[in-house]
Amino acid sequence: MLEPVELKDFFIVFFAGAMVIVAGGLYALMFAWSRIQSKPALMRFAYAAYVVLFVAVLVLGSAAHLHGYWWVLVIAMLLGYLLAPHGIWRLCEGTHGHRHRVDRGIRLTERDLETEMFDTAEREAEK
Amino acid sequence: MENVQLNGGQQLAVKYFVVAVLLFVAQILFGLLSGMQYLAPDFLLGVLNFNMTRTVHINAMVVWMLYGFIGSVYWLLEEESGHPVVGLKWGNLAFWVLTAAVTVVVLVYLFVQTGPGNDFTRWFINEGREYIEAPRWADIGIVVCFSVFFYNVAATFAKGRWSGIAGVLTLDLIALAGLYMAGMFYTTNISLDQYWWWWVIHLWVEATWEVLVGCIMAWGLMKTLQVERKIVTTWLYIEVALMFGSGILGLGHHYFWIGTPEYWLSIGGFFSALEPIPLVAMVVHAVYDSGVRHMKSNNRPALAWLIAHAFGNFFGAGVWGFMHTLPQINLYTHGTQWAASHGHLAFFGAYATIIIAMFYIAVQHMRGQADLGSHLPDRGWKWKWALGLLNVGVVGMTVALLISGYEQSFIERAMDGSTWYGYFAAQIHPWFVQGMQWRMVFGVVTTVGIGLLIWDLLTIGRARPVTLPAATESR
Repeated sequence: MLEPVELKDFFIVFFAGAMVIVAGGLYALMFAWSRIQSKPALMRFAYAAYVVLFVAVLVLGSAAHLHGYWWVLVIAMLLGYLLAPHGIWRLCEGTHGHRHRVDRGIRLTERDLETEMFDTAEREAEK
Repeated sequence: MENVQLNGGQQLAVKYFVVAVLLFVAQILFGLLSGMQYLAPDFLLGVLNFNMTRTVHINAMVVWMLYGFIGSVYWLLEEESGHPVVGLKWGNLAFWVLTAAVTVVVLVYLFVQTGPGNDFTRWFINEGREYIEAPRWADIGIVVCFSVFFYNVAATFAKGRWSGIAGVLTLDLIALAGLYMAGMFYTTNISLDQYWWWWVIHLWVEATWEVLVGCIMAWGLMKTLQVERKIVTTWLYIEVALMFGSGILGLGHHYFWIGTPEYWLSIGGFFSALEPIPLVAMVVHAVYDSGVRHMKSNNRPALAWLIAHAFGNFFGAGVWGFMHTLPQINLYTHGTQWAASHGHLAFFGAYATIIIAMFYIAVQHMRGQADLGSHLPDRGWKWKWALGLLNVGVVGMTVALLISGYEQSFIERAMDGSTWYGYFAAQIHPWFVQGMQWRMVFGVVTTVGIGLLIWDLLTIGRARPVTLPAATESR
């Protein structure tokens, strides 16, 4: 059953809703930046942003009366925003991680070398 | 520019781009008129009422974006497929028919405006469905022209070379044209009518358009940043999965208050909350790619507009959308200036920006692959100012409308329970009025921005580039 937001909580709902996405974006940004620059210290800021997101989701859940089965939504948001950057990072690594390591002069793995050879052969074939 | 040989698809694309720019200007001018009518309700009263200026404002936006998308697809078609456009004559004919139809529809909007409210009105004057008001004859014409466009695209890829972008694009065009037909039958039940009407509006804007833009973006990234095809194709597939996964049932947030069963509240709320996750995930990819590519490009305006697209999509669709999407709060915000605030930033951020990026990619090619990097003779002040003014203008309008919408949902909806008294109390409240005044100010800023943008598109890359000393090259 739907329980509308109370008048006094209007601003809280708008603000918390915005903070969920902004903190989610910031978490993703810091997470990726930390990994690509190889600066683990930045990861603290990433998780700090996630803590803000966590609090914002709980505040939103409370002010918007996300009770009963609506709690599924709260859990989905907490997990979804936590895991999405990890998943996308893995995909980035899988699709073009070797290029990053080549450009930065980072030691290539055996798999990187295989990919590099495959890409070179493909480029030659396209020509 | 003029010495460069354009292929058939590109020549047709340029025609679409020219009309798109004209309609973009029309959108902004009619937006200014609509904004002025909020401040001075008697302005043009009885000559061009608010309902018509708003109709033209919104319809011009929908159509210029469609022209921009179609132009973008024709632009990349021959290069992507490695084959001349199949049925180009039909494509050219469809362009002229579509443009003539758009012209007639707008003239009827402006000079006939209303009809007797029967089938004649629906067929020849105005269908009455918000955003897709075009009368029925024009609907049919649009479907026919879209079919020709689809034929050009599918047949060209079929005779040439299929790629990941080609496959996604072709399937998306089927969905795009098919969904338009969902808004083409008539029923006297308003709930049923709205139910299908949202298939066109939502599933275009939050599903098929997003995928179409994904295809254009993928191609644009290969052009501006020389990203490898394998990478953009993989990401296109991921994007399609994420967008369709959350976007299709996100449709439910439009079904909250139109008389549909209650389960739509849960479905709409749940999937709407997940819709921004792909946008958040894409932030990671953007950082990854920019880190790998070092943002080097010989077409800086296009790259800048692609970046504006990434941010605009995230804030306009993600942040502004989610703030008022859950049914517990949407009960009060639905149909207020909140929605207008979200609409302004999301349409501009997600779609206008990427079409403008395509304009710059096209212009660079037309000017003989001119270097549009850091060596422009005027240091690229025109494109930079156009970018700044358009973004500041739209963001300013968005914030102004947000303030008005907040006041409206608070006073009109929550305090006064959507009564007429509440409506008028909200409309004369200083927060609402001042929001409308500031919207007008930023509307003028946006207008100056588009003037500058057009000037830049007409002139950029024509003069010889400045040769800088080697030491400054890397800056």
